[in-house]
Amino acid sequence: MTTTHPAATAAPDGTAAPDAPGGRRNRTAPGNGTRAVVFVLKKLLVLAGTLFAASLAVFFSRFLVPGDPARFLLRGRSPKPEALAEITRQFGLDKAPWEQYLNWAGGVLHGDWGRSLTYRQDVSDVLLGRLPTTLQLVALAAVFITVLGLIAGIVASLNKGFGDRFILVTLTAAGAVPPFVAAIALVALFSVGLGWFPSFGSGDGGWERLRHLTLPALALGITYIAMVARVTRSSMNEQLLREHVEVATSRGLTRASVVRRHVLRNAVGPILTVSGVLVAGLLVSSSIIEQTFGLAGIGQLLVQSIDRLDFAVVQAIVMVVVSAFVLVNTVVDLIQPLIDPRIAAGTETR
Amino acid sequence: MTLTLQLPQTGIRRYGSLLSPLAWAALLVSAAVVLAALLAPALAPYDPDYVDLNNVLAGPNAQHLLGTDALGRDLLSRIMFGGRTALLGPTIVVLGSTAAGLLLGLAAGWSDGWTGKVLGRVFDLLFSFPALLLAMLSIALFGKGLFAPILAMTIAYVPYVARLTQGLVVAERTRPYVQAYRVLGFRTPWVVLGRVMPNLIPTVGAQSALNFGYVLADLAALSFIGLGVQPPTSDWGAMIEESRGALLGGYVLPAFWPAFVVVLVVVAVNVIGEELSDRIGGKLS
Repeated sequence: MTTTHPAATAAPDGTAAPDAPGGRRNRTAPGNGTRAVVFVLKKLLVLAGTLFAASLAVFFSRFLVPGDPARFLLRGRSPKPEALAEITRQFGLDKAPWEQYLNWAGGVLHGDWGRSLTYRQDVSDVLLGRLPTTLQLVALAAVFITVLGLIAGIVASLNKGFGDRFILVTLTAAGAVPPFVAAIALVALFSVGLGWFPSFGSGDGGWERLRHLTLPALALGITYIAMVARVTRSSMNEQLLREHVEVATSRGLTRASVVRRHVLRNAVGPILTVSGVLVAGLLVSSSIIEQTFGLAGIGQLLVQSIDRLDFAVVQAIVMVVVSAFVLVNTVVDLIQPLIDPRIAAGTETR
Repeated sequence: MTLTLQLPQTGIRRYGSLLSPLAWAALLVSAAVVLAALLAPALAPYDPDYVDLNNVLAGPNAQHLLGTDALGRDLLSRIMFGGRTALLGPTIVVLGSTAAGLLLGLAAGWSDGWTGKVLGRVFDLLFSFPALLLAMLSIALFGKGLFAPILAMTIAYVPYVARLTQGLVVAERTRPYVQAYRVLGFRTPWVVLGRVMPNLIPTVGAQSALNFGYVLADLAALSFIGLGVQPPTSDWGAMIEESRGALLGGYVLPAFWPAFVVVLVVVAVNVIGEELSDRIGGKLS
């Protein structure tokens, strides 16, 4: 892809068009609008392609299991002939594989995810019933990650010497604690030891729900709190050495204002980049955390459905999580140019 | 007047100066844990499955150095034997994904044509499946135990190694020694596998060391939620799950020891991996 640096299009003698002085001329240049549209379209095309390929992988994974697919789908149960006939009809097992795929994918696009064997309900209904708990858990974890991660990173970056070393070592240790170990440690400390928070269940609405979700959200977020803090710290350290920060400081701006307007704003890019990985990690780890804390969310449903050999549900949840991950990554790619205009749409040379 | 020559140190001394004291400590800890797991049948004081109901939830004492669990089983012995399953999985995953990732990355980085493009797309697709999720899908297909998650995670970690290798190869291709081999007419496979690949191994190895920690944690988590190693086989993740009842009753140690070992090993391999990549990065720049 050919890229054009803003400076390269300026007139050779350094003078710009009189109506649009300086570098701003390039932004309003006619080519840029179409380039942005092409950039967005390209990203959306890649998104669609990835989702399509992922759906193929998820659907045809079932064909890796040797033997009768009807008996695979009814494992762990003692299937009567009617049940076998029913599952054959429901999944269209007597049809060609590509036809089965089209049926499934068509259903998925229309919100028909098949039927759950254990719940004897539509998979979409089971999923929708479980979704709020998972979303609340992930949202609370995201709040902890943003607040604690940013604060730790900023404090570490602004304190040289012992403070920085101390926070860095703590972060390295915290980043190495797997979420389920963090869950056990938090339960030992805050539930069994201090009795501040419950160790099990989702609680009923409002304040109780928040109290029940606090420990799970902390356990879920610990790896990413450390990650965001480290990225923030190094990103800010890089910015602090830049000339524009020095200029801002020498002009007599207060430290807080320099940090907020000149350091943090420019440091956001790398932090945003990791957020795609973060969402996928949160959704996947939430299965472990929900199972540990007995929260009735999507993650616990995934674990239970694997345990109860309910493949239609497993397939649906895997597809949902992968889609969420791919979607978030695309959104991050799309808003990156808005935050940092240097990564102008269509001129990504990162 | 004496003439001093700066000769590059060779062999083990070179690596000695390459690693910081912290990395040496991490290396020692890892070696100790691996040895304890390998020699568990000879070193462990008790049978890890020996139930002693007269001696449940005992604290550390002369007979049981780390105490006993809710069934009176010796925690030290269970941790030593548990290390065998807990370390075996990540070892297979890291070896498999490193080998496959190196080869695919070399192929993708070396080719200008469609091979590189297609492989790049495949890596992208694999990146959209988080390792733990792929492992769960695999367990749903092939059943609980170690086989299914090990298979899935090996595949899931291939793109991490391959993408790194690809980038390194693209940079390496333009270096004079590769050009020289080409001009001299050496065959491509010999140059790639014999001359380029050895230069990539330290960097890729650093990534693989980090991967080892992630895989260990993920496999332990799967055992913890009952989808991985099945009881009564001792495994660190499964031990933590078995100890939850005791934990809620106020007995912390049976859950603490396996959790401590998991974190210890993950920290140790992270320190080694980061140290390696720092040093290599410093050496190159």
